[in-house]
Amino acid sequence: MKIRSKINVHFLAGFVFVYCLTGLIVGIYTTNLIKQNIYSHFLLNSRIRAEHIRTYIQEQEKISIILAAASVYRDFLKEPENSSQYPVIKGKIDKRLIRTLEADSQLYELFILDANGKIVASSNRSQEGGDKSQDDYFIKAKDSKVFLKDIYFSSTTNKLGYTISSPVNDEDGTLLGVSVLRYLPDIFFSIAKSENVLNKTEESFLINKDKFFITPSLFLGKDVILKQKVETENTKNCFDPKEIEYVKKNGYFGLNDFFSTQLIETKDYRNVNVIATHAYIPETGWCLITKADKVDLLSFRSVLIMTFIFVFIIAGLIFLLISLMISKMIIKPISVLITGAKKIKEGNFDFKIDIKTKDEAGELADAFNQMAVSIKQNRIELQQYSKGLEDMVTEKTKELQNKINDLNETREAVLNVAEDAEEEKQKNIREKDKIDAILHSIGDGVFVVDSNLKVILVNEVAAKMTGYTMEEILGTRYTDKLKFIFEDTGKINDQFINKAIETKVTQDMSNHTVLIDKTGNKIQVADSTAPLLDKDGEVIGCVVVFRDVTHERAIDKAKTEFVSLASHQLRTPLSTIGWYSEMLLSGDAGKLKEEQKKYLEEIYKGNQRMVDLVNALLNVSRLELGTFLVEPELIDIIKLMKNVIDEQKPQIKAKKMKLTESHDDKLPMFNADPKLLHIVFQNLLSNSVKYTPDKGKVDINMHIMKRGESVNNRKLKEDSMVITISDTGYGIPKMQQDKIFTKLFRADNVGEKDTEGTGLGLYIVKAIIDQSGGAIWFESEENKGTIFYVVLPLSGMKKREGTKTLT
Amino acid sequence: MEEIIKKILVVEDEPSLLEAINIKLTKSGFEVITARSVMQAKNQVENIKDINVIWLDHYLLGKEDGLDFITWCKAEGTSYKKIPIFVVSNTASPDKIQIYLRLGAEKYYVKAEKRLDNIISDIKTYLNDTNHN
Repeated sequence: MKIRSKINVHFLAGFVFVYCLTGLIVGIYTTNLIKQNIYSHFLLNSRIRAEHIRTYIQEQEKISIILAAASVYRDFLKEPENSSQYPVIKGKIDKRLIRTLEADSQLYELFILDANGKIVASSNRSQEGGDKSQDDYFIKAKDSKVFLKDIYFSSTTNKLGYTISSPVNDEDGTLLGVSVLRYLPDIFFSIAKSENVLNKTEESFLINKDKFFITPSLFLGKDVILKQKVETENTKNCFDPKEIEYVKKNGYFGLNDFFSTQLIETKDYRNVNVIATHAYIPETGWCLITKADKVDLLSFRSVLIMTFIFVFIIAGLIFLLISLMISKMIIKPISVLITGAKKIKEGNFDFKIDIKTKDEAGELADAFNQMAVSIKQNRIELQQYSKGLEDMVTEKTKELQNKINDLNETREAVLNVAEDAEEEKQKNIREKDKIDAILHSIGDGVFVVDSNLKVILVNEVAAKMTGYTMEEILGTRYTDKLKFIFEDTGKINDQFINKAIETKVTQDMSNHTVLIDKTGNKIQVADSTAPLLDKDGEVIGCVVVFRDVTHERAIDKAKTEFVSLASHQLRTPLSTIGWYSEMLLSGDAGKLKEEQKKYLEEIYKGNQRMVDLVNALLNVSRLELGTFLVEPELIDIIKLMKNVIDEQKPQIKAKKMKLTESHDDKLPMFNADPKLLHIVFQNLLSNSVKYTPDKGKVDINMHIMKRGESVNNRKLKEDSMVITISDTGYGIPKMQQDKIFTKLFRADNVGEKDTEGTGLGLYIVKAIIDQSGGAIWFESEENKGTIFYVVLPLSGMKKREGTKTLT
Repeated sequence: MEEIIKKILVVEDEPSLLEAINIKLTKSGFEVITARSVMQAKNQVENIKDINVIWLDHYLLGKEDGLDFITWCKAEGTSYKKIPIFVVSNTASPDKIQIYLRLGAEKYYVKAEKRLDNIISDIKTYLNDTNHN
């Protein structure tokens, strides 16, 4: 949900809650208040009307008494009918009656009865002479001051009415007659129908002692008068003797007492639920019932609810409007910020958010703009940094490329394979600039790890060899997918990478490392590892190049096995020849003739030469295969040379030669493979002895020389051991000097003199010295002698793992 | 001084060489027992209790070679552990020489480079020395 909607929803929810709560409280309170008000009003109306009725009746009664007390009435009733004065008085009375009648519209008839109950004067002359001695208003009036006869239907006048009668007494109290006033009941109708009603169902009506209507019903009209009885709870209460007593004594109940029987909820004569009250009229014994339909009376509640809803809608709309405005106000800067963030995401760091307000939005915008500036700076730094990294990778890749080229060159030499196509391919690759292109085109597996040993780059060849996809390898620790183990122990080989990172020096993977691929197959590999350094020289990763050497190893193995087998197979018959010759010569098969012995010795010698030749050939093959071992140890070169000399002693003696040997007083112990040095010295010395005529001289010299000093016009590149072996022999012809170190070469001049040479000795010597980082050369003049110079760096020979030593 | 006749087991697959060795050793006063495979050699060692010395070649008939035999011979707790073994072979690779010597061989000779006389006199010298000791 968007913030805007959230604000609006929360605002509205808050509003609804507060409004409903307030509405409920106010509603209940208001309802009670209004109810109380209505009830008060209702009760009050009832009381006012009742009082009105009472006052009115009391007035009428007073009028009746006053009229009866008038002297005119007394005089008239005293005057006998037959007196002369009678018509005059009668005439006065008649006038008086008419005037009285005219004075009150409610009064429709008045008459005077004599002491016997005979009408003696009437406003309606036709009634005169009538006998009313049996009527209530005559009988009851005689004994009291005033008598009110309840509303009744007069059969003579055919009208509803009531009468008030008072006795007319003489001064001494003798009854002279009765004055009767007959009134219409309309005044009560109008009082009961008072205009000040609360609502249209409110009505007041009067009932007489017998509970009959005496005023019309609002709902049933006039027909009910004196015909329908009202038997409700209300009327029952009204005529409760206790209440009548109370009212007669104290007047009506207080307004605050309406919760008593005064105001009740009940059913009216129509059997409808009403709120009703009553008031007893003591003067007449009537009861004034005032009531209204409950539904109608409480209809204000629906009005209240309607109002509540109406206000709710209006206020809700206003609220929503305000909330929308506020949320828009809040959202506006956020939308601007979002737009800004999108712009920055797209790389537009110069985008500035334009919110200038002094509030939080303004501060946020400022912070945002600053952030954009700082991101931009960081991005520039990062770009520079990554460019640096890229350069470095390019450089390292070039290095690797060179290394790979070196490897390829070595392979060329060993396998003697036409590499032109490969070289062409390499050239093409070099032409490509992009690292990816280089990496993925390299025939060898290449991967790059960061300083946490996570693979950050891998080429397809590497991935293919492991059986995983490039995506699977990327990002994992290299030992997860690129498992290099030692072939013999099966342990993980992580030294080459760790060492490259530790020492910052390019490392070669040790031999016999295998890669375990996805399916568990072992692939023999060779590799090299170069550390990736940043501009401060800190290691940031490592580049590893490796290739499948299964095939190469197989060929090597086959060759090695061939050499090994050949050596065995060639030597076995040689042994047979040797041993049987030996046995014959030592007379094991009987004594030999001198000639036989001579021939056998030739066989034996030839056999020994054959053995030497086989050894030499094996050495050559090992040198060329690179399978020979170099096992340097600290040696005493003087002692070693002495051994070689001792071996040659018999020959030297036989040829009556003179051998001299000199060396520095103290030669340091020196790191070299004694077997290899032995081969070197043995060959050089035996050559000197062999190719020097009898009584010749051989001189051996050994000494240390510093870097920069010259030996035979050659400057030394480092501190070295310099050995010279010179003789006074046949020398090497100038024409052939450049071929002296080549394989199976023998100089012409010695070939004539001696046939024993194999043509391999100096070739082997040169190969060994080259491998040791040393140098060998010579000076020679035919028939004067030869001097061989051997220079061995004092830093010693490098250890080399191979399968065979030279013999 | 009259020498006690020594029993020597010669383990060699090449019949001509075996013959030469046999003749030469017999002439030198040894009682020669021969074997051409590791299996035969093992049988001889187990059957003939008083073998004094063993002459062993590397390549032999069958799949097993001299290394298997010397390993079996020099195993802990056997009665023949003390029999000296001289390895005489044309397989001259230094790693093999090293292995043989490490496994308890007394000496290693390259056949083609050694005279029979020299090897036999070495063995004799060795046996006499140990006897006197």
